[in-house]
Amino acid sequence: MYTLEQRYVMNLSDHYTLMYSYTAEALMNAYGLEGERAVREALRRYGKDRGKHSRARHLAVSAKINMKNLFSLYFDLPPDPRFRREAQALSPTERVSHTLVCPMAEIWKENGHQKIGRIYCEEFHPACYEAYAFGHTRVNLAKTLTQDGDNYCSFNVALHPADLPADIRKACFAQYDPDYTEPILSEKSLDGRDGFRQLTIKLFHYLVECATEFRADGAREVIQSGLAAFARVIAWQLQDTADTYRIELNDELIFASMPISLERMHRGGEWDGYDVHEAVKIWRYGFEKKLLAELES
Amino acid sequence: MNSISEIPKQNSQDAWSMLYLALAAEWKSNFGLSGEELIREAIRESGIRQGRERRNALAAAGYAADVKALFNSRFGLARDPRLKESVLEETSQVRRFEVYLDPVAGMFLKKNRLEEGFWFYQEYLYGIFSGYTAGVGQMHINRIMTCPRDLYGEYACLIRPANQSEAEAKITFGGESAPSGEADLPAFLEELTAYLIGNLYLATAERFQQAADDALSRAFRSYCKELIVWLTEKAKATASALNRNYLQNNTAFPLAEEKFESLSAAPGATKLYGKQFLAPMLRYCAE
Repeated sequence: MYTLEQRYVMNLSDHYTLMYSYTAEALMNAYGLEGERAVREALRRYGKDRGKHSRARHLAVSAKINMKNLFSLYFDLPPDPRFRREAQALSPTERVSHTLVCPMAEIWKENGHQKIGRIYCEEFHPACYEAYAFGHTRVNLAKTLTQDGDNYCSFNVALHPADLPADIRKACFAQYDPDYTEPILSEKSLDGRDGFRQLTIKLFHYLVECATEFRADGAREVIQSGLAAFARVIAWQLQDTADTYRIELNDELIFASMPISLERMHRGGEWDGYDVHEAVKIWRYGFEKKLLAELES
Repeated sequence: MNSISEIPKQNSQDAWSMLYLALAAEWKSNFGLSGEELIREAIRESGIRQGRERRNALAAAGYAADVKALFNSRFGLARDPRLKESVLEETSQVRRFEVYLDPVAGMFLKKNRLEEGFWFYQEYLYGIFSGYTAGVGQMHINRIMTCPRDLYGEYACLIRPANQSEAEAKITFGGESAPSGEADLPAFLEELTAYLIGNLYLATAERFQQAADDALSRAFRSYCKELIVWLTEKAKATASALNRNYLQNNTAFPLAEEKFESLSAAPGATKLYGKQFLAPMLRYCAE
């Protein structure tokens, strides 16, 4: 059995994962192909945001923009204890790995969201890794655990010096920058709640943005309907955590298990820059109110 | 070997792989990293053009230019009969497959030219699929048979209607399914030869002027020598005469300069092709 601390991180991870799939499911059910377009575009924008954010962080400490740093320096996805990976190669030019257990794929399957999960894999990974290295990364993901019949995710992410213009090559690889000295960096481990909060808010922001761009009429209500279904699952998750660990379902448990604070616990700043199209209002009304009602019932 | 009738196709594929290696070796030794850049770009651009032409041909015939048609119709990719693969999934949107026997990789391995092999695998099919899907499809190549880590090739390609405009989706999925069939391998390779040399020559001449002529001349001369020895052996193995007809059926290049020029759109390269490669080849085969 996992420790309570580990369970909290797992709850945060599942929260992020299911927020996406329930919102996407509502949009695709309501708008069909148009909804899928919005979801795919949201994932691409979200991926680009994360890729560019990682790049900016690396440049700020004079680190090179390459595959080794992308997957090892200031990684923005908090580690989930259920995750299992077989790493095969990690160098400035390539990262090859097989994901053997992906908690995201598992929970999507459990909730009947495997197809929606596959959309996430198809769009997020290429967009994020490509944006990180100025659009030059080659992202290969021929097998995914979100695909029937596949029993691992096959990642092969590469950056070829010969594909890059000279100035970008210099920014990416130390051997093309003769005056470069590798910075000595100390890395604090990423706090699970902070990490998943940023990811959840960003992804929700882009889902709202794209849904309202693609379908101005009623997108807000559709997203709220997805959030209502999501709130029911999260209410169950919180109760299950309390029951399993024989603790009280109180604000402390809720705070530790949910990446976005309830309004009454909110200390400000969480949504900075990501409150477009009344995303916070939609979240508070569509998810938070429903969750509190579920918990009370 | 599959059957006697398939030998010319196999020879054509091998002749093409040898040509690619002759060009890649010359560019690598002559231009260093720039040579790699130029080879990668030329092979990618050739793939894009071939992919786009296949899409256009399917659309013109009223067929859906979907994923199935690219791999399983006479309008699609031509394949060597020795290729052995296992298809894990094939629909109009997705094809996922593993390759266990790949004659192109086989040639690269046999000649121990893994690096140049990587360049080819890391560019060509991406180019094809990009051209075929107007830039919105995805090609994934996770295992390459020329990589010491890998025992087989692992591929997936996909195109989703939700990532296309309505007009593009109509071309991809709107027409009737193309009938199953096989594309003509020698014609496909002949086209690729002219595109590759044309693209490579033009991009190199733009950056290195006369050095492009010198490099292409050397590559042609070395390929010519190698090919003559190889073809002599191949012809002997099937008791065939090494004449123009044999060249036509067992190699991967146009036997007329005009055809080469119309495909490559590179008059400078055509001149060298005629003088340094085609003329000596035809002369040898006429003797």
